[in-house]
Amino acid sequence: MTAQTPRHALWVVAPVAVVLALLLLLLATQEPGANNATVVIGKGELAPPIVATTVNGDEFDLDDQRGRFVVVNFFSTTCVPCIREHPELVSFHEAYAPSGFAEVVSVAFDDSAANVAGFFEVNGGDWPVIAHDTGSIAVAYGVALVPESVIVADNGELVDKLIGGVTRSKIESVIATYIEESAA
Amino acid sequence: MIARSSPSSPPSPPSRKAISARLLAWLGVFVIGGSAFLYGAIDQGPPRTDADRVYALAQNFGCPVCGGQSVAESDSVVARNIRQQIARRVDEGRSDEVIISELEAAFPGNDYTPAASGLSSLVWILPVVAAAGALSGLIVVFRRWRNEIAPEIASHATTSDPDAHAPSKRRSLRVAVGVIGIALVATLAGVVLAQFSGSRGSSDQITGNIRESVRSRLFDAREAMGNQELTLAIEIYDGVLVDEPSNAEALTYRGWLTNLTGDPELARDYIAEAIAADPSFPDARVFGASLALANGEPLVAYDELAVLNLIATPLPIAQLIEVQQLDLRVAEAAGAAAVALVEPVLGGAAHEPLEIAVRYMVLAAEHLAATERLDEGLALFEALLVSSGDDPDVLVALGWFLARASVGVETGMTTARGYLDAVIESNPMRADALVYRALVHLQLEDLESARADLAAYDGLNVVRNDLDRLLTETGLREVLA
Repeated sequence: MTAQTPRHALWVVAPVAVVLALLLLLLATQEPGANNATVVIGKGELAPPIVATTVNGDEFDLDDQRGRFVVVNFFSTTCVPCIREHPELVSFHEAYAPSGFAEVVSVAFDDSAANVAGFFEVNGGDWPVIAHDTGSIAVAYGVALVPESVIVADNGELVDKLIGGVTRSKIESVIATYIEESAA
Repeated sequence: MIARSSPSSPPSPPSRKAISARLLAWLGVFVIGGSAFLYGAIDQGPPRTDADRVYALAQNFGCPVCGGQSVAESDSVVARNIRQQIARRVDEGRSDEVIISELEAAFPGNDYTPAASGLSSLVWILPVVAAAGALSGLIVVFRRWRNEIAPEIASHATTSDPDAHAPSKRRSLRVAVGVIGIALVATLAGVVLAQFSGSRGSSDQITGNIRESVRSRLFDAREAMGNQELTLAIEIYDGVLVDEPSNAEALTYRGWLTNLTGDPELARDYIAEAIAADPSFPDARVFGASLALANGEPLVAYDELAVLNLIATPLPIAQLIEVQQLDLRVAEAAGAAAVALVEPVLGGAAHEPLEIAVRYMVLAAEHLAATERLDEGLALFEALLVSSGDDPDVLVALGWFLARASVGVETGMTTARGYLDAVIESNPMRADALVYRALVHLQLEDLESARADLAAYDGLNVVRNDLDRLLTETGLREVLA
């Protein structure tokens, strides 16, 4: 009987080894899983649509802004970095909105319309502000925390997403780089 | 009469028919087991409701800021937004794949849908295959033992049989068939497990781990802090932060404990992270203000506490501020810092709003008035009217400043009301202007107008802790009741 042990071991090991080898071959040669085959929001994609009513009661449609760059700023009135970046947005808007080169649109993140209206009264800023049902917009733009700003090109493409507070010079730099790369 | 075999006689070897029956039985087990696994893998189950689908999808998508919690479990703003988005997409009739793909595009790396393909599925399949291998080994060992214990039937009964090695060959065949069957079923089981059990993170235990909930651990940490067991509290918060790196409460109190253990710089980093994770978490604001004040940055502390005016503040935090007199200390230090900041304006220089924020000019003016330097406070407002005369913040502050400086002086009150009127005319939802004007109306004995302003403020339904405190301190509601 003991003479049969090596043969038994072979019978046990061989099929398991074959199955494992086949499994490894299958896994190693397979394409990455479908779960990873998604396209991450990024440069060059068309910006997700924004159609909403502003706190002033006006209708805003991002598609209507074609022909100018748009800074979509996600903010909250209780967020200190948002408060700190606001003068920079005001400065950017004052410099570029009158000529039609760029526009700013603010999207409130988990905030009330009254707070938002008060915030703009206090801190200035004369651009469309969306405060109602903003959750879907935030999800579409992948906003998890504020402040975040997404720059949309004049052709509707996403230029860049800036996480954290922005400055006027940073926005200018991003747009300038985009224009240079597009011209190249 | 029933014949009984002699106990001393050796058992007869199993017949070919008996062996075939046993083999068929084993094959039956494998076929039934394999079919059950296959059915489980393919069958979609009974039709699910939309709510079931929303919940299942939310369970399979990670909260982007919670590190370890799914969207279904988390209470963060982004998790709520994603849950609502999933519900909307389900209502629109989108497939699960489309919904998850859209979310993954917006928040990459948060798809918890089990990875049933690719190398990542090995972490599920290999343990099952290994277990099956061990089981096969056990079967072989048990069979060998049985054969060793059994009388040596073959040697006694069939030594002269030319087919003496036939049973051995059949046993080997049976073992081989059994092992192959087990290996196949095990592989199938691994695939099914990978399909239905979720992907395993690098830090997960091989058997899965039963985690104590974050909520209960935070409770334990608070209890440890209450018992002055700071080291234990730190350990608990660190554990929470491993699972939820953006948990605002853990970050805040980890920061505070870090400060208590003598590292204020690191403490401030923790607090800053907590505020970034949840700007409306009041505890972080209070500790942030306290640390900034201790670090000689009273204006930063002032800004942190100012945010608290807009947040629903729990009673313990309000009591903490009161007990520590944090607001008074910050107001005093920030007022003095603001006066130092506006020194050039007091010296006659023009006010530049981009250099000195309006709120610091107002703070300086308030501080000057409180320290019997009313004229200098007024001079600052005059400078503000020149530089930012259209700013409603300036007009409200000036109106309220004049109102307090003109108690009993009708002309001063009327002027103050004029500034407040101008602001409210352009923005009827300006909460502070409404409350201040109500108080001015009271001074002017115009109770109806005061009531109207108070009603308008109440109608806004906004959180303004500073204004509510003012109303309590002045007793305006009682007077107008």
